[in-house]
Amino acid sequence: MGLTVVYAKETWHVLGAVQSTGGAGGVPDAGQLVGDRLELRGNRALPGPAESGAVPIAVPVDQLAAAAVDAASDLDGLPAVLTTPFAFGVTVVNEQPKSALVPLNDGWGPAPVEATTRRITVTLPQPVTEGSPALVLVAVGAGPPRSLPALVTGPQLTIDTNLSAGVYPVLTLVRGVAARIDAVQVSA
Amino acid sequence: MSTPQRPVFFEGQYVAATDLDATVSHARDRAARHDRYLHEWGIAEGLALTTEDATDPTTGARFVTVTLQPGVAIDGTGREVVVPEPVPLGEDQFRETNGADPGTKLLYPVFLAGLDRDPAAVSLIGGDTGLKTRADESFQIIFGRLGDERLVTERPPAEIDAGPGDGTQPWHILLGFVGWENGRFRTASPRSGTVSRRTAGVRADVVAAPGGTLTLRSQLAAGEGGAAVTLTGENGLSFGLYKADGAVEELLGVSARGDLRVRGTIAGGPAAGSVAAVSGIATDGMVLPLPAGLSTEQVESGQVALHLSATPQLTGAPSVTPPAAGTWLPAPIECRVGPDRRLHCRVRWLRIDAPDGMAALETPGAAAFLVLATVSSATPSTGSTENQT
Repeated sequence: MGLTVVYAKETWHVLGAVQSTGGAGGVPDAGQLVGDRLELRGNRALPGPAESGAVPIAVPVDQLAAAAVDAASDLDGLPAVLTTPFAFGVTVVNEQPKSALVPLNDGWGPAPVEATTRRITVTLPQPVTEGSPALVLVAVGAGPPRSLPALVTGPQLTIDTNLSAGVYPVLTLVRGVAARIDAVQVSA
Repeated sequence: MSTPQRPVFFEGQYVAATDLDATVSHARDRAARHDRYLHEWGIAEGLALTTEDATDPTTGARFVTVTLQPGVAIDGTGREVVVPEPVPLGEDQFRETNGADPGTKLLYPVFLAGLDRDPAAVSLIGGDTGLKTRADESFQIIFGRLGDERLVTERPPAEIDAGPGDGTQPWHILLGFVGWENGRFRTASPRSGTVSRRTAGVRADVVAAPGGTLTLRSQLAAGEGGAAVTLTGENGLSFGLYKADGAVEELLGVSARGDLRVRGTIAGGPAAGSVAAVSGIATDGMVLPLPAGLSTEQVESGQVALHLSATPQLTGAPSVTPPAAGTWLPAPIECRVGPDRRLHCRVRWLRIDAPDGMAALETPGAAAFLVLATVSSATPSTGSTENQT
């Protein structure tokens, strides 16, 4: 069975995966795997079983690429990337993704993403690699998410933005660190 | 039938005519068996029927003269038939077979057959006795009746050990066809309908290329625009057309790894009523793939109907980073495939050993999927159907 992942072009995070047999050969392009966007939803801890909900955010296909990867790191009979895709990344050399997936640093602290109407602050898991590219996507309204690129310069990532008060789905992508989606409360 | 016998000689032996005949016959029979069993009989070179326009000086009627050009053929007995120089086709001979004026637009077959003849000039050595010292490996041209070209392949094969035929039972090699009108030839053609003159071939289960490249081409010379198929260990199988510089421009290829390269389009597709499938596991938000050879356009047009199913893959603990502690029970709250084949899978996890009561967590999930595609008739019908768990 072929295992294909969809990853973020800028930060190399795996955001989706499919393992199939019987489909067309070769590596499909990202558009064939996600359409015009990849609709993602994050985890959500609930105070009680009666509540439900998700944190949706759609990543435009032009920010994504696809790669065939090795089906290693099995978990309960499944490649681990199928159960925790955000915990893996690809490595791109000479614009070509390598087939071996890379496990990412998942040492996030509690509530690492905070925001005000003027800036978003991300507290990164240690150690950080200065100069690593980062991309923060903020879902604002029904259109494409607001894309905020940055470079890691220290233990915290601070990105200027302009948001009104409310709750926003935020996808945080920092190269080398597990991706995450949070519902971020923006205070006035 | 008998085992081929090779003449041998000893010093001082009186060599008789039969000994010399055996020497010649051994080599000739062997060559015939080679040509018969390692090749397909037919025209090997030349032997075209050509025409030249002419006008009857008496009546002013226009006609053509037909000439058999030089060439070589191998008949079904393995006999080599050589026509060394152009031979005009005789109208009188045609009339003997088909009458003076058959009155039809259909074409008549013309055959070539090998025939041993006594030489016109007798050898000086045997001349006084009247005995033959040579035989001309000659030929004869035979006009057939309408439809006789279809009887050529009904000739029984030669005996397994036999040498070449002597022509007393002519083996008809189709040269082409002539048209007859007003008592004269009016045309000549290499084919009539689906029947054309037969050219020689090769019989082999294995064709090996010591140089590393096996080439098949549709013309004797590698001319520009001619088709060629090449097989090499490095590049695999390749079909293309010759360019002016003698190289082949690839149009279709299969690499040594089995990868297909196509410059043109692939016509056709799955037959109506056929079913194709793709299965696997996908994560939440992904668009499920289509079976090989099918396109989204075919689905959208209704030519292909989809039957989709998705089943959540529930692992022993929530798939979160960092891993969640405790004992969790999974419960799928959503597992469906949308009209755009996008998978929506979400799992709620309940912790049953939480110190302060039950806790819950929702995560995106992975689902096993099956996409069955049924190719309907050309008439567009429904779009996709879904089967959700």
